[in-house]
Formats: sequence, structure tokens, C-alpha cells
Amino acid sequence: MQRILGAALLLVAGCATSGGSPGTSPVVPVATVVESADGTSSVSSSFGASAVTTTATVPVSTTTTTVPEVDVDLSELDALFDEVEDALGSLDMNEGEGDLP
Amino acid sequence: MIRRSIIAAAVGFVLVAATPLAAVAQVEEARPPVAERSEIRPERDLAGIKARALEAIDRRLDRIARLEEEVRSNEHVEPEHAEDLLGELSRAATGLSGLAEEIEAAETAEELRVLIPKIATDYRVYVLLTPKVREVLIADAMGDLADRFDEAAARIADAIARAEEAGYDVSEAETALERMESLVDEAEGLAEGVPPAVLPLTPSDWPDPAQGVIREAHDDLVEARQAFRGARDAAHEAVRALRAAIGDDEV
Repeated sequence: MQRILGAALLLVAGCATSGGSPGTSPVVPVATVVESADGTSSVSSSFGASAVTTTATVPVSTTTTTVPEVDVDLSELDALFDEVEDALGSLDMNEGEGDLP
Repeated sequence: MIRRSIIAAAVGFVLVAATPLAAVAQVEEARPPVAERSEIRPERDLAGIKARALEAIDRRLDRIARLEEEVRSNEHVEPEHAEDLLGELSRAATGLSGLAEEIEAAETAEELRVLIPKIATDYRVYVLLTPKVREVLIADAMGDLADRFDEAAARIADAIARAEEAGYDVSEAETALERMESLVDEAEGLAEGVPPAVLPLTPSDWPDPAQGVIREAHDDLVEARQAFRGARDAAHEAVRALRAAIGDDEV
């Protein structure tokens, strides 16, 4: 995307500057893209010996990877675990049949 | 002087000797004749014994009604387990009600001596039926719990895969997830063995082998609970580790 934008800018700049005198050879534009550490990219262009430089700055952040979402809710699982634990806690293993006359 | 002492001693001896005799005579007068006693006391005793026996039956019928409600209102019990348990509870209630009628109709102590022990021996409501029902309900709930753990594990595994694909270090989360899955398998294995072990037990199996089977099932469920507890901790740990790895604020 950065490079497309840079090329578009170069094309505009080239059209504006290479119209020169008739009979001269067409000048092929040269473009350089530099990504800097400060979060920007610079696009430079030149036209043969008589260099004309056009610079466009594109924020790099547009190309960063999306952080994956952790959409895991354990509250329902916790509730069922508590339910099971309560049931087990109330299981009386010491009952007897000793209430007969 | 000596003569006076001898006389006093003789009088004292007569009084002391005569008092118990008088007391015995009074007790004998208060008691009814032997023939009268044999007519009244067994009747009173039979009525009291019957009343206590019927109270014991009522308590068991109340317990059975409560167990039926526990089965019916339980949303985790397997349908076939519910059917087995409700059938057994219904048969016990019918049997105890019939036994109550027999006890009410009994006319002799000998009849009661045969009928009353059946309240315990023919039904084992407290020592067998109650733990059996509750152990099956808990085991089935643990089966549902294992399913929920599996669902959670799938969601965690999916989140881990997406984070790994994005280049994050998910090794800690993966380790916790593996521990969780292993503990759930262990717990599920313990719980699912309980219903087939306890459901076939009948009152005639008491105490051997029923007592041991019921106790062992209880111990398995306690052990399964421990494993589920570890699995729950591991699930939380996996999510926490994953959020920490990707810098999620919810950590």
C-alpha cells in the first residue's frame, strides 16, 4: 500500500516535471521507499541528472497485525463447579438406620 | 447404765429391721396384681412401639419424597438414571406404606418383632438409597461439568492458535491447557464409573458389598472433585497466560 501510494505520488511529480523540450529522451523516474523507525515511510523520487525529489510520508501503523481477542468466559464453568462441590459437601456418609423402636 | 444402752440398742435394731419390710409392703400394695399387669402392659407397649415404628416409616417416606424431588429437579441427571432412581424410590415408598399397614394391624409383640426390622432391612433408605441417589446425581453433574470443560478447552485452544499465528509466545498457555485437559480426563473417568457401580445395589446387598461400593463411589467423587478443581485452576491459568502473552489489559 505504501509503495502504491509512493508510485502514485511519483507519477504526479513526474508528469509535472518531465514535460521538457521536444526531442529529448523520456526520463524514467526512480523511486526509493525508506521505512523509518519512527513509524513513517518516506518515498523519494529522482529524474535522471536533474533530480527532483518528492517525499510522501505514510504511517507504518496501518500495516500492523491485529491483536487476537481472548474471548473465553469461564464464569459458567465456575458456577457449575461450585454447584457440584456443594452437592458433594452435603453428602452425609454417616447416616444410619438406628431410629427403630 | 449398761442396761439402758442394751435396751436402746435393741429398740434401734427392731426399728431398722422393720423399716424395709414396711417399705416393701407399700410397694407391693401400689403394684397391680400379676394377672392385671399381664393384661395392661403389653397393650400399652404395643401401642407405643407401633407409634414409634410408624414415625420411623414416615421419616423414611419424607426422605424418599425429598429424593424424588431432587431427581426431578436435577438438570444434569441422565434420563435413564433418573428413570431407574425414580422407579426404585417409588417402589420403596409403596413397600414402606404397605409395611405401615401391616404394623398397624399387628396384634402381638411377636408380629412386631418380625415386621419392624423390615423398615431398615428391606429398604435401607438412609444407608443405601440416599447416598446412591445423590452419588448418581453428582456423578452426572460431573459429566456435564466435564463437557463444559471440553467446550472451554476448545475456545482456549482456538485463542492460543490465533495468538500463535500472530507471532506471540503461547507456550505457557499451552502447558496450562494440556494440564487442564489431562485433569478433566482423570475426573471424568472417576465420575463416570459411579452410576454403573451403585445403581444395581439393592437392600439385600447391605452391608456387603453395598457398604464398600457406596464408600468407594464417594471417595471417587471426592477425588474427581479434586481433579476438577485443578482443571479449573489450569483453565484460568491458561487464559491468564494467553492474555499476558498478547498484552491484553484484562489480565
